[in-house]
Amino acid sequence: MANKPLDIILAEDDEDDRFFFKEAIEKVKIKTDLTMVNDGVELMEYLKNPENGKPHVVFLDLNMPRKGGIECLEEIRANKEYNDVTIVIYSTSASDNDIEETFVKGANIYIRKPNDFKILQKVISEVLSINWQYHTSGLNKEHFVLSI
Amino acid sequence: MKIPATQLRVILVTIVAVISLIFLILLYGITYEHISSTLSTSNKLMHANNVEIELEKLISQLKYAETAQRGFIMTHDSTFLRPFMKSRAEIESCFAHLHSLLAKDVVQLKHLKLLEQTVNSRYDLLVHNLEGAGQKVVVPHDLKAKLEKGNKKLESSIQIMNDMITYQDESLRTLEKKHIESIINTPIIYFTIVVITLIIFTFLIYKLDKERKKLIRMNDELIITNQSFVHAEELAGLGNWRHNFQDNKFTFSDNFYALLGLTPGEKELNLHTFLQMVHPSDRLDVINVFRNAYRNYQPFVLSYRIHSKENRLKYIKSIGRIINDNNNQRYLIGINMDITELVTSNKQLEMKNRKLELFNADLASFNYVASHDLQAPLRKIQMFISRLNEVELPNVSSLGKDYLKRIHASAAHMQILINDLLMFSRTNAGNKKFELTNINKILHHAKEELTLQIEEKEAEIISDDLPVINAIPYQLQQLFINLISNSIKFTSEGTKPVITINCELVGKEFIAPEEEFPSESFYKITFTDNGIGFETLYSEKIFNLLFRLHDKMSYPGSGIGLAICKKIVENHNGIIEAWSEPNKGSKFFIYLPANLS
Repeated sequence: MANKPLDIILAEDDEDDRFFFKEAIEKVKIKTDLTMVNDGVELMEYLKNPENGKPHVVFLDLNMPRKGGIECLEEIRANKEYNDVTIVIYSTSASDNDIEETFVKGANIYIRKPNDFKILQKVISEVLSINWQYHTSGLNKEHFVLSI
Repeated sequence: MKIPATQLRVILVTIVAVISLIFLILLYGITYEHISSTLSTSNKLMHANNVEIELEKLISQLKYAETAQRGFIMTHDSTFLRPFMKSRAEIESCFAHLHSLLAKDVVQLKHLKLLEQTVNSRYDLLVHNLEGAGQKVVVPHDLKAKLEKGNKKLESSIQIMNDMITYQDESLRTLEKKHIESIINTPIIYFTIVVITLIIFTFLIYKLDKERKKLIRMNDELIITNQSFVHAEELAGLGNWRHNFQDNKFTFSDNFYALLGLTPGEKELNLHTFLQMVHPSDRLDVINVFRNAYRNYQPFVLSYRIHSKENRLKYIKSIGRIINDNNNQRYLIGINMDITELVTSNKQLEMKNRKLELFNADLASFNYVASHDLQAPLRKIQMFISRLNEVELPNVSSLGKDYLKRIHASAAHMQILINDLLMFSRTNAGNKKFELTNINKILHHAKEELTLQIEEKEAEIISDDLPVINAIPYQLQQLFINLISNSIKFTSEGTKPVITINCELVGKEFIAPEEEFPSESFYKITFTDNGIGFETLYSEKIFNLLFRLHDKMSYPGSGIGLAICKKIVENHNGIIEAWSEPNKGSKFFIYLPANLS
C-alpha cells in the first residue's frame, strides 16, 4: 500500500504551466500518477466518469476557459463522495478575494505559481508530503497559503 | 409673542378707564345735587319774598281801608267808601294768594288763620262804624271808643303779620346758613374730583400713548421682519400660502408666485388653478394629500413637479398642516420649496457616482489583469530562464550567460514593478475596514514575511512595546514590511542592519497645530536604521511615486515602496516624515491617530 502512487489531477489550461508541472512532479521523490485536464469542464467529466478512480489530490487553476476553478471547487465540495479529496488551488493570482473565497469554499491549500523551477519542485513536494488525512482537521486560514 | 403681557395691559387700561368714568359720573351727581339745592334755596327765597310782599300789601290795604273809613266818618262823603270797598276785595285776594303760598307751611297757616280772623273782625268793626256813621249823628265819645277798638285790632293784625314775617325770616336764615355751608364745600369737592379725574386721565393717556408707541414699534419691527422674511423666501426658494376655511380665501406670498413664474397677483390662484400647473403624473398625489389634509386634518410632506408659467419643469417640496388662530379661524397653511437645484445636483451626483463606480470596476478589472494576465507571461519567462540556468547552462557561451543574467534581472525588476504597482492601486481603492489592531502583532507578521531577507543580511530588529490602534491591518502590515525591507536593503555591504522601532504618545500640536486632525493625540513611531542614508534635501521627494535615488544594479527597486507607505499613512489620517544624512542612517517618523474610534 505504501508504494501505491498518489493519484493526482492537474486542471490547467496553460500548456507551458502543464509542462512545468509535469516536469517538476516527475522530479519529486514521491510516486505519483498524474492526469492533466485542460479546463473545468474536462475535470468534472473526468471525475464523474466511474471508470476513473477517485483522485487523492486535485491541483486546480482558478482562471480557466469554460469552467473556472472556483466553480469546480463548489461542485466537488457539493458532492459528499469527494469530501476527502485534497484540493490545492494553483493560481497566478494572489488576490485576497480569491484566497478568501477558495478558503471559505473548502479548498485545502493555496499555492501561488512560482517563477522559479526549483521552487515549484519544492512546493509540489511539500504539498504531497503532507499527510492530508490528519492535516484536514487542523485546517486554519493562517496556513492556507503555502509560502516557500 | 408676549400675548399674556399685552392682555394684562389691556385689562389695566380698561380698569383705569372705568374708574375715571365712575369719577365723572360722581362729579356729575354732586354737581347736579348742588345745582338743584341752590335752585330750591333760591325758590324758597323767592317764596318768602312773595309772602312778605303779600303781607306788606295786606298791611297797606288795611291802612288804606282805615284811612278811607276815617275820611268817610269825617266828611260823610261817599267817595271815600269806594276805595274802602276796593281794599276789601284786595285783602280777599291777598289772603287767597297767601293761602296758596303757605299751603305747605303748617306754622304759617296757623298764623294766617289767626290773621284772617283778626283782619275779618277788624273789617266787621270798620263796616259797623261806617254803618253807624251813615245813619245817625256820631257821638264823639262813642266814636273814640270804636276807633280805639279798631286801632287795637289793626295793631294786633300788624303784630301777627310781623310775627309771620319774623318766622319767615328765621326759616330763611337757617336755609341760607345751610346753603352757604354746602356752597363753601362745593369748590373743594369739585377741585378734588377734577384733580383726581385729571390724574387718572393723564395716567390713562400716558398708558395709551405708551401702548400706541409700543404698537408702532412692534409694527415697525413686524414690517422689517416681514421684509427679511420676504428676502429669506427669495433666497431659500420658499413660498408660503394659507387657506382660510371660513371665507374660503387663499393667501399667497410674493415668492410663491415667483416660484410659479408669476408676478404677484398676476393670476387668480386657488387650489384648482394651482393643480393645473402641477405635472400631470404628480397631480393625483397632490390631490390625495390635500384631500387628506382637508378631510382628516392630516399634515403632509410631499415632493412633486410643476410646470412654471415660462414652462420650466421645477421640483417642489411642500409641507402643510392645519392650524387654528386665536379667533378660532381654521387655516391650512403650507410652505413650498423649490428643490430643483437640489434634485438636479443630486441627479448629477448620482450620475458621477455611477461613473465613479464604473471607473472603480474598471480599475478592479485592471488590477486583475495586472495581477494575473500580465504576471503569467512574465512568470513563464522567469521559469524558462530558471530552466535554462539549470539544464542548458553548460551549452551556453559566456556572452550568452551574461545575456541570460540580464534577462533574469530585467524580468525580476518587472515582477517587482508589477507587484508594487498593484499594491499601490490596492492601497488607493481596496476595502478600508478599520479595526482595533495590535501593532506588535503587525510587526511580528511583517518580520515573518521578511524572514528570508532578515536571515540573509543578519538584520536585527529592536522594538518598544507597541500600542493598539484603530487601523486597516493588512495596510499597516504592508507599511511595516516596506519600511523594514527598505532599511535592510539600503545598508552598505558588510554592515549588519540594525533597525530600532520606538513609540511615544504626542499631542496633535506637536505635528501640525494649524491643520485639522481628527485626533487629539498621536502615536509617533520612529524607525531608525544604520543604513546608507540619503541627502536631507530628498526627505520629501523619496515619497513620490517612482522616485529613485539609486541605480537598479546597486539597489534594485520600483520606486513605489515609500509612495505606498505615504498612501497607507494618509489612509490612516496620519503623517509620514523622513530624516537622513548620507552614511548616518535614516529615520522614518510615522504619526498615527491614537483614538480608538
